[in-house]
Amino acid sequence: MKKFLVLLKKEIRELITPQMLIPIVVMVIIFSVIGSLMSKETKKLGIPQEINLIDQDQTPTSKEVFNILEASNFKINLLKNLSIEAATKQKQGKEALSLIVIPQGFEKGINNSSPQKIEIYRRVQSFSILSDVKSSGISKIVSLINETLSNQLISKNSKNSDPQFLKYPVTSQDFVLVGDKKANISLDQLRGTIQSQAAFVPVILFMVIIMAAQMVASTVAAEKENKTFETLLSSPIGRKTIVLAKLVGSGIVALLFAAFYMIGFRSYMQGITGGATGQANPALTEALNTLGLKMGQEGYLLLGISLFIAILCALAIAIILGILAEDVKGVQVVTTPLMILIVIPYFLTLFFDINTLSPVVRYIIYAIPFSHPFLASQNIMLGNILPIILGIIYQLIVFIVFVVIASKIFSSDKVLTIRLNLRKKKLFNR
Amino acid sequence: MSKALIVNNLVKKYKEVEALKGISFEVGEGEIFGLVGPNGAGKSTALKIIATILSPTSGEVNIFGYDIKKDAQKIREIISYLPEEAGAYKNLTGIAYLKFMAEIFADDREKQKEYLDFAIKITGLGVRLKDKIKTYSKGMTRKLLIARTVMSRPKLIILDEPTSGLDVINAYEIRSIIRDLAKKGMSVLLSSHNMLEIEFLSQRIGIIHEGKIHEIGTPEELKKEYQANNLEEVFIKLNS
Repeated sequence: MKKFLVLLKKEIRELITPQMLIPIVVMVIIFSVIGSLMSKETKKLGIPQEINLIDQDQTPTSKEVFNILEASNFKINLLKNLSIEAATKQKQGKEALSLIVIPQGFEKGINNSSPQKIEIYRRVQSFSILSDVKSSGISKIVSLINETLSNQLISKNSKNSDPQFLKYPVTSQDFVLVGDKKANISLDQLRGTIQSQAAFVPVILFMVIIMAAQMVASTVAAEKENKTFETLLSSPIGRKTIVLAKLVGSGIVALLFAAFYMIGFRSYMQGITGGATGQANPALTEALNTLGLKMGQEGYLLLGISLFIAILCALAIAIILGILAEDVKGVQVVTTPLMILIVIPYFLTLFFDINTLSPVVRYIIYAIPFSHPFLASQNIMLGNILPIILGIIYQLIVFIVFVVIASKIFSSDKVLTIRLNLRKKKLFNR
Repeated sequence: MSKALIVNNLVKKYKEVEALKGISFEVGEGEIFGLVGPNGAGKSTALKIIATILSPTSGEVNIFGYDIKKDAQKIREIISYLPEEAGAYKNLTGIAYLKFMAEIFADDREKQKEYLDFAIKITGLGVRLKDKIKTYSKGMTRKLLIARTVMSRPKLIILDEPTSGLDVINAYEIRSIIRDLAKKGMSVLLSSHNMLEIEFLSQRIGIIHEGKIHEIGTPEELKKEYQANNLEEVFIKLNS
């Protein structure tokens, strides 16, 4: 045990270097800065948007349009005695120019049941996502005007009828069922909330597993590259102790770095959502409680166990792959098959419902030990505990098998002869 | 002289290549035995087997009464091996590396301190021991590794090309360290393709070529037998 701790300390000291820490800290800072920028920009979306308006009609109906826009959180600059050409050349503060022109004869045309066209001019300043969000506000203008004016027209032409009823005689009341539980909520709304709450879980799982695998493979390859491996193998330390110290050391450091990533990613996500995740809508919270769609303490514990064993599996496989690498540069190449095994369940669980896939594909996914933590987060929400426990048992078996293989390789010539084989020709041709 | 190491008919095959073709030799207690031969002769393979890193295809290796196949773990406690061009953990300081190795070889703190003090003295690196190993020159690293190899006062020291790539002054210093340690009773198995170094250090020499030992004797015996001025001439005559 003492020698294990001595080796473990050495592994951790070798892994946590300024070269390793600086990029992680910088990444956390960059994520936080981007998050805070996004948060500021998102908040700006709530500020009334400026629109220039040219009213060539000057009638009560065109004034009604003005009122509709003002009631819909737009700040209207009414341009008088200005041509369209001159108006499009006007500056509008920092915002991109938006100009609406209500043509002459607008009211007359509507009263004569002739469809009217308003002109909307928008100057493009960028194609970013946030500018697109702002543009979508302006795109809704026509629907807003139509909604109000059509209500007025219906009321005018059919005095005893409710315009809302005439336009929407059928509406829906949505229910979501989970097992035998029922809640009065729309599935789209529920899915959006669950996805926004759990979005970071698969990303973190993916990053932790990949990082841990690359770390342990690198420690083995570095021992070979720096020619410290032979010294270690001839020292009075059990080969299993060497394997175990490398596995645990890399696991601890990977988890530590994952925590850093999680902090950075959380700040970024909070920026994007404007911190809105914490202020859940009461109806939605009630629906989540009714349906039992909450990751309680037991859920987090199960997810943690599944993730921890998946990391151990990745470490056990990666330590074997690390032996194959000639040097640290070669780690990327030898760990590629492992990366593919991690990427497959990550994307499949992100885009598909595993239960709807063909049995062959489904069993292939179950056979990959890294699929289980990705599946666990969904199963916990839906209260399917048995598949999670079976997954954990399967992952444990895979881990034990690979640790035994790794220990056997470390106890045999193979730990060096794989390299010797590659260099054999060179060695004996000298 | 009682035997520190007995190698008997040792064979090592890597698939179709036979690296060692049945070599036999012995090293006495407190003796420096030099295994000399060109690159690819099988020196490093023999040393790796004796250091318990590789397993023999056939033959016997016995170290202070322990069999290499049955008692590998026991053997690791009484030997110390310095591989050819060995490195150290670059992100550790020299002192942290020596401390780590002392903790590997000894469980109790007093012993660890004794090993560490001995190693610090041998390195002669002084305050530079507080610097990271990646800042060391090749000579400094080699001195650190020699100190690591002998710090636990092993019964048998296995040194593979101990002065390879070093300048004259560093190589001379390391040879002096090896000589002093042998005087204190440690047995040394030394491999080198530098015949002059082997002649300077070793009491007896085994000349190995293409996986076979061709001659064993003291430098004087070999020079006399082959009527040569030095071991280089012995080796050339032996191969011609």
